[in-house]
Amino acid sequence: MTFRRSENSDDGLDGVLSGLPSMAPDPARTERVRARCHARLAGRLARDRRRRLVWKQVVAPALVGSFCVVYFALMLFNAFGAPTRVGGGL
Amino acid sequence: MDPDSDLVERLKAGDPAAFDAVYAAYHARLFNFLVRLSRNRQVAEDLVEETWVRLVSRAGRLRPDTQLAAWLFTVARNLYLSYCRSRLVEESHVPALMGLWPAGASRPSPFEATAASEFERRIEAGLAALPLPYREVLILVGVEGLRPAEAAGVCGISPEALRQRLSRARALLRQQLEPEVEVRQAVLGEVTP
Repeated sequence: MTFRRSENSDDGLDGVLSGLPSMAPDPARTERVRARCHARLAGRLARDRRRRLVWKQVVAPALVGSFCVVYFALMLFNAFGAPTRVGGGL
Repeated sequence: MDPDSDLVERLKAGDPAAFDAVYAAYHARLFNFLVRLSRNRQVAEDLVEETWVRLVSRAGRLRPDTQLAAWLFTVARNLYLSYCRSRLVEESHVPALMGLWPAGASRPSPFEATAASEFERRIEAGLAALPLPYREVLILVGVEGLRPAEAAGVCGISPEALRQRLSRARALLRQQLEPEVEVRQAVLGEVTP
């Protein structure tokens, strides 16, 4: 085996390194980690769904409702004008 | 279309099948990378688990152009560096204690212990003996097959700095392996007609 060298690579050495055997992780733990990540993913999805539901059923109607109240209050104010002071002052 | 971008989109949407595909493609590679960095199987198991937990908890914030290999190896490397920092204080007491320990500090790495041949054992030992900055670039590019640009991103250095570091790492490893390679060539020369 010769290590063919160039400025950017060393084919022989890289070939040796890429051919090194790999070690298998513990299968039981691998499965446990996968299950843990799945549970986290499911938890995140459930949280997102809950958040969307709260927005859809609580926050959005509250915003729209308060906007309507302000809008009608302004309409009434414009229609009947500012309340006049009785008796007036100096 | 970048093959990773589809997986990233599905991961962002919380698709378990996308997670399984990424997990199947990278779990063993990340584990091997971390074993070769840490030289400790248990530490590698813990760090690779934390890497996956990070991916899942941050999947929603991944950018569409995320390169998953580079992202995962970067997280794994950063976790290993954090682990080293956390061990620093502890290990500052080790030299004093190791003098009292009959076996000494230099244990073979798990790869050395299980290497099929003497030559592989020498390479693993040579890799394990390299300083961390050289070891990590050789593992990323040589063993794990990352592109130099990706490896530069993982190590947080410029491509030019990576090229220099890689060249130096190869030279250091070659120094340790050259006598071994010469012996192999001599043996091959004897048995090859």
